[in-house]
Amino acid sequence: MMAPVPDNAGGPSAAMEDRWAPMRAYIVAGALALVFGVIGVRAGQVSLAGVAEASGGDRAEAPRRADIVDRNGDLMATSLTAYSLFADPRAIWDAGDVAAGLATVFPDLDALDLEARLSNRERAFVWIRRGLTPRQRQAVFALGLEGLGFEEESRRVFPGGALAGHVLGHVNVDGRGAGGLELAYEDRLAAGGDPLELTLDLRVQHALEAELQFAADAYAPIGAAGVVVEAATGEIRAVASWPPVDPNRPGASGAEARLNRATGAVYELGSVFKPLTVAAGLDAGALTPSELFDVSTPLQIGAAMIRDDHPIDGAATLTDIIAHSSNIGTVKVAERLGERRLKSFYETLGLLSRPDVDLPGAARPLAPAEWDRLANATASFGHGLAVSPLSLAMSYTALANQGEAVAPRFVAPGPYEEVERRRVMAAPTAAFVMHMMRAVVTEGTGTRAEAYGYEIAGKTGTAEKPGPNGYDKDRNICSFAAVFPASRPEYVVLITLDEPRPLPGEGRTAGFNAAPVAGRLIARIAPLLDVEPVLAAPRSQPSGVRAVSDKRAL
Amino acid sequence: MKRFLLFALALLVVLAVSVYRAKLGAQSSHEEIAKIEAEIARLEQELAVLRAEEAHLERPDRIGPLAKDHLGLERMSPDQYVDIDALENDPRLAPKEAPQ
Repeated sequence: MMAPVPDNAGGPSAAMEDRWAPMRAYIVAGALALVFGVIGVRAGQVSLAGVAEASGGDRAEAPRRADIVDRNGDLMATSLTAYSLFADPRAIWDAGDVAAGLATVFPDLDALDLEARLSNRERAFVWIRRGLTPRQRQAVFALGLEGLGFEEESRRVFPGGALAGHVLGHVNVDGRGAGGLELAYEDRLAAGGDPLELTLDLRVQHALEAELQFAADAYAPIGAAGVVVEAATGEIRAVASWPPVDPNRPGASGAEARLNRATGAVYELGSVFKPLTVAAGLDAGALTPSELFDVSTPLQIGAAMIRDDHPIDGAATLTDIIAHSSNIGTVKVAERLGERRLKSFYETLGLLSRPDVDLPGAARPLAPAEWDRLANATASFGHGLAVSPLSLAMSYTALANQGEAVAPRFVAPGPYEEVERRRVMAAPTAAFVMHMMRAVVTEGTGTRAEAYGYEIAGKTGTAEKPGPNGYDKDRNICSFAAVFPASRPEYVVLITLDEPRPLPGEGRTAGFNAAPVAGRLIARIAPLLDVEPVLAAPRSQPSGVRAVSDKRAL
Repeated sequence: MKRFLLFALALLVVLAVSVYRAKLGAQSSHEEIAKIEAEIARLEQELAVLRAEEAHLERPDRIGPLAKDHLGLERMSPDQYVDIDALENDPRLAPKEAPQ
């Protein structure tokens, strides 16, 4: 049984409590409201201000290095994400198992050596391999081995291998350009974005390198170089140096192979200078196209005696002098012209200064210290003056362009960029010299350069290399400088072989080695370069040839 | 007055809830974008690898012999060019008369 509880059990003290009750309620309610208010405001803040700080994305990341493509958009250099594989030996139980597993992915891996390294529990970090492709990484993942990790890095890849290796250059371990166009355009490439478009044509480049390899197999030179340049624009379609280098493995080739013989080395190139000397003489008005020269007797200049290997009997025309490469005749032209005029003509052609080109390591010519009468005479046929094959090829653009020279360029011009041309000789002079060079191939020293349908005009050059005891007859630099097609010149080609050996029963001069290589090359690249063959004889004579005697001289 | 207050309160709640939902939606879109961006980056890498492989497989020193051995292709010779005027007079290209 329960006793009834009175409604008001308190008494006076209970009444006191009642007086404070509303106050307490207000305090509690106020505190609660404050807490909820804070929570509400904070919740609102969080839900509205959002999670921006968590989403990331503003981490500064270096852009992917821009690709390099040829003029047709074919890829020459690209950057791929590569992975470096490392291991933590302390996290590996069975080093032998891991090593054996990795050896299945990398057949050239030394499993025993790796096992020994992975067994060393004192180390926390062991590099296993760098530069893995995504596929290799996937394959390692698939093994499911313990204690392995990957680090992501960027790797420069040249899919063509050694193709254009010298001119492209390479990148160092930090991914920065180190040589060639990779260095020249470092800032442009490092900024990422659109591919860098070159003037090179991958197919022509391949043809040039293949023909240099052919020449290397046939004549066993110590080096070789080749240039193909579009005469009207100075755009380099191909430039190569043999032996080749693979930019994917820049450390694998020696200094001999790394030298870019087309742009970074200078040679006394010999008789390929003769058309330029004759052009200088004609342009200065020091001689006339129909003039005859007596080249039958050697010429004494100071202490030196100028001779011809195959003397021309009787009077020789300028065309004979070029076609049969007469030193005596060329020196007579140089004598007529004088030191000042020949030197300044070479200067205008850019043969006495570093070529104006955005390629690192473009060589400066070696000119005689004093341009005296003897230096003038020898320079007129390409001795005592050493220039790079690129420089010489560029000087021939003036002959091909009706007297206007252009600067070499490796990177495609912008849409509104104009080609800068310098007039270095009158158009008739260039036309006349072109005809003389055509005669070199039809009846002179360069007949083996002829390629049916492409009207090759050119000049052979066989220079003896300077040795300890003067010039060495057995060590030659053989070149063939060509322009084609002669009646409407489009391209200049230069082939240079350093110390080619003669084929059995054949001569050692350029007509036997550099000339046929140039001819083979032109027959191969002309269709790639969209040069239409010249099948019918040109109907009109060029403007430079008017007199009847001039026609006979052709 | 009391009804107006209730109505305002209800509106406030509705607005708060909708803002919250919008916020949630934006957040999930954000995540979606991040995911897609990561996917794009991955595909771009893959594309770069495939382009490099394509360029490697298409290099002239590989294609040349293949074209010659398997397709019988030869280098172009000047004889294969024909003058456009010569084509007009070629009897082989003259339009044939329709059979009666």
